[in-house]
Amino acid sequence: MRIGLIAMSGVRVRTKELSELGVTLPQFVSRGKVIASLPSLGLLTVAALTPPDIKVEYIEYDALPDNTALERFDLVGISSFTARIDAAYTLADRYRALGVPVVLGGLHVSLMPEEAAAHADAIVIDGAEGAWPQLISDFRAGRMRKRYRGLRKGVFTAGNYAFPRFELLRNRPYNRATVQTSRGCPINCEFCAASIRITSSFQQKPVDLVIDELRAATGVIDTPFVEFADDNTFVNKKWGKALLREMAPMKLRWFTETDITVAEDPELLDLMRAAGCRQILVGLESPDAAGLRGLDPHDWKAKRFDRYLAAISRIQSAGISVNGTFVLGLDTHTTAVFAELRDFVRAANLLEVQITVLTPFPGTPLYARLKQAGRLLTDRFWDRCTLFDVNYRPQQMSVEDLEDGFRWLAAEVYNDHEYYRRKRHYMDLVKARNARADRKSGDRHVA
Amino acid sequence: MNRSELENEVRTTLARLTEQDTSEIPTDADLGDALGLDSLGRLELLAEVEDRLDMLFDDVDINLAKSIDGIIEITEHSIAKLEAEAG
Repeated sequence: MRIGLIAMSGVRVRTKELSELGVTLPQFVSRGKVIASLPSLGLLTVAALTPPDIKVEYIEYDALPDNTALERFDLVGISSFTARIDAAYTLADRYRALGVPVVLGGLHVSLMPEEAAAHADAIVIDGAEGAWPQLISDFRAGRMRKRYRGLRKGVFTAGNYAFPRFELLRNRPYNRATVQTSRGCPINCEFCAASIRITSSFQQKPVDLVIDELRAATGVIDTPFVEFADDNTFVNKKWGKALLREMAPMKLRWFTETDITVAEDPELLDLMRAAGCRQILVGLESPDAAGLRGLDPHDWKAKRFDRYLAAISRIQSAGISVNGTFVLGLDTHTTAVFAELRDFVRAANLLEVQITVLTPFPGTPLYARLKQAGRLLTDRFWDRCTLFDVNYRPQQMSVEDLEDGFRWLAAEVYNDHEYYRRKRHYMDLVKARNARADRKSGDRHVA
Repeated sequence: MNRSELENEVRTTLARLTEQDTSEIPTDADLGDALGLDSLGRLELLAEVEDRLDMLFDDVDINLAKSIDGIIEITEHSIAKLEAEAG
């Protein structure tokens, strides 16, 4: 028996003016390019949950030529984000027309199961753990059901956990390895469409499993860089420090997403740097505290806004660059927000910046709220869930104001002059850190 | 400092930053490919070269630091500019 697992990665900006912006301002698209080039960890886990007597092939959809004849597998599994789900449905329909049964899964399918079910012989909701093995057993017995629900908790415990099949990525042109250390995030921003939507609570993988996965994931890629597939890696700082101490001898370079409170723990920052952390992405969201109120159930981010600038400075001074991400078009944002954000980025000296537009992904609390308020521009806009296309009516400005302001801000933030200024600031931080190290050791520093 | 001394300075700094042997790296090799030097690593390298040689690169030159040759060239350019301004 042969199973084909097809990954649909990356997003394509739909608005013409924005895609043209990406040509003239490469910094604008650099993070998008990285995301598009990451392997699908979910499908590597599905492969791991498949009985060993079944041959599994991992395929990147974008690696298929446009008019290629589809390979006739016994079963096909497709996983996709919202922005590419229509392409996933089209592909699924093509396979099914050939008589190849299709299983759809992933975040969008989990949040829009009825819609996805119309294009699949079976759907998997939530994680593959707890679902895929039963699906395969049923399929082999000729009684595959229409719907399977995976585990929303306990996914990293013995009996449920599956070691991803990183070896399926051997000899592929990836330069980033991806490993997941956790699912979920306790902050729970209303717009978040990530793993929090398929998990009951924050779940942490044991350190030893993470280390084993890192060895395997980096072993199949030349000069690998690791991107942790987490929404918030250092929620548990005690766990984080234990991981970092184990990682340090591995001499890795890596990136992850986490929250601003890492700045409050100097030991954690030192351990992150020593373990090879090159950059963290932090959801800062707004250049003012008002924009953050109501964003998460406990105003967690709003309460920490006044620490943002100092925290960014501490993190970058420790030798870890910060990619600060912002969401434009929050309900308190007026047209003044664009200049405010430009000024904030300058004051913060963030080495990297990601500006996005508020995006009501289906299945999120934001989507439900805007739908109820009649503020969605259309009923169905999945291919425009790119984080850069506007799909709703902002509260304090028009759609055109948001689109124009976004483009203006992108030009202000991503032009060469500003980027060089941020690079120069970072180089000054490097020199200051080196000087501190010299004073401590009494010698010319050793990095 | 002549070109040979500059090259030695750059190789030594690179070796320290990357903890790898840089003695055999061709001077025109892309440092990302040869040593896994990422964009942050390049900034750290340039900051150290600036410190050691007590000079500053032109911002626009920072993007040219992709190989040992590239770093030497922008260093020579910056030193020449400093000397011209001083003279």
